Amino acid sequence: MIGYLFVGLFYIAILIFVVGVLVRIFNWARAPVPLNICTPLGQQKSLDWLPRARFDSPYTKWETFVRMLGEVFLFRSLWKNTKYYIETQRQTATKWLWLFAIAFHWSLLIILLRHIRFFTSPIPDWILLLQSLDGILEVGRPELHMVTILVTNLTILLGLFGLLGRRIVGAKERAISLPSDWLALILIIATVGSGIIMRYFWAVDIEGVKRFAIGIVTFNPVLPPLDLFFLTHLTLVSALLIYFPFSKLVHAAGILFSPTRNLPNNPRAVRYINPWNPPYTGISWEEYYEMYKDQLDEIAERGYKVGGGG
Amino acid sequence: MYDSKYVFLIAIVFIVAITSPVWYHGVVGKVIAEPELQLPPGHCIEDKEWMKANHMRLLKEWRDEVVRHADRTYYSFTYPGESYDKNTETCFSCHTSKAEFCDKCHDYNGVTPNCWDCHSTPELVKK
Repeated sequence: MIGYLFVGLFYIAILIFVVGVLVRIFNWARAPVPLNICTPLGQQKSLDWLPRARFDSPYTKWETFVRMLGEVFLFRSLWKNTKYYIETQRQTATKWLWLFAIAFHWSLLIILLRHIRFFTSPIPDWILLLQSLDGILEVGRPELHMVTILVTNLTILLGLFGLLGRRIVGAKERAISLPSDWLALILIIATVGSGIIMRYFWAVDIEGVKRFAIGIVTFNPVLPPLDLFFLTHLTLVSALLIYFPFSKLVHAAGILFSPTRNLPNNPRAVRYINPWNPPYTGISWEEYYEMYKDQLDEIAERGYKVGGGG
Repeated sequence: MYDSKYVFLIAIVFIVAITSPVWYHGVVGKVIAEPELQLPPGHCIEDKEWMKANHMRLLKEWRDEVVRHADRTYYSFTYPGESYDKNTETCFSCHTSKAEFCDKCHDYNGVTPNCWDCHSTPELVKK
């Protein structure tokens, strides 16, 4: 039965995703960071009268943690991103890039959370609440035809096509775009597209979908509904899950292991020790004296006066 | 490995989040099974399986045809010769309870149709 191929594909995809991400995490954790290369976004802690950027240039672990929250949830450093034009010697803010990025990522998060409704029974109330908040937009003429359009469906398309358009329209961005950049964007656009088609244009057997999803999480797999768009969606999601740990998509975990972000900006106050340095063993004064006995005694005889042709 | 306590924390949070639908049912203590509907005697206006898949589209079609064209009579495809009034009351003449019929599958699948924003339900009529 062809349906079992999809069950197998989905399980294998989840397995590769989880194991792959864990391998990446532990590889990063094993890599030594030789220098404190924190890249601050503001004035570091200095003299008392100098106003400093507490969370843009963190000094303690706690401040670094808050900075990471800002990075992960608000894309703080992307907000501060600028673009420099050599010809006109002009520096401009690129807040539009931040807008597309944050629109895409937050929509993706909410869409993923909404998908919990397929994998749980009973459905947690907060998922239903999230779903109804997402469905706040009803479009159409009330006396005739109303369609609930999910806000995240609009914003994720805005974000994705904004990010795609950036790589198409911007000459420099186009020049540095690699096939993997396009692949990631197109894969996600196709996944989102197949989901949107199922939501608004192509009703699928939603009970069959739920039966399949519950079967997956209770390890009691049943066949998925053999529906063109559902199977397309499932295949694309599996492809994304498999592709995730091997590609730039894994920046979701990588952000937490970025030494430019997760280190406090305190190298002037606290010595940063390169972890691959050989262990340092000092010597005592007695050993030192033994080593340089003659010279030290000579200096002492001269009353610790150095130089002068002695 | 460096900063292992943070790394293990991240790894554990990741695994717990990814497997949440699996242990969620353990925490709740049950998996609510697919609802078994109490079907009224007789047959529906169309084939049962067809109705299950397409009732929402049928109802929207009815609404548009009634509101725009004052076309109030529906001729069944499955049962030739039978005709029905395009009205939610037609449904409720057999399916006498929203809670026992409509809500069961809708709740199970997390679907929230907006029919009842305007239309009355058998429960409301009884009140």
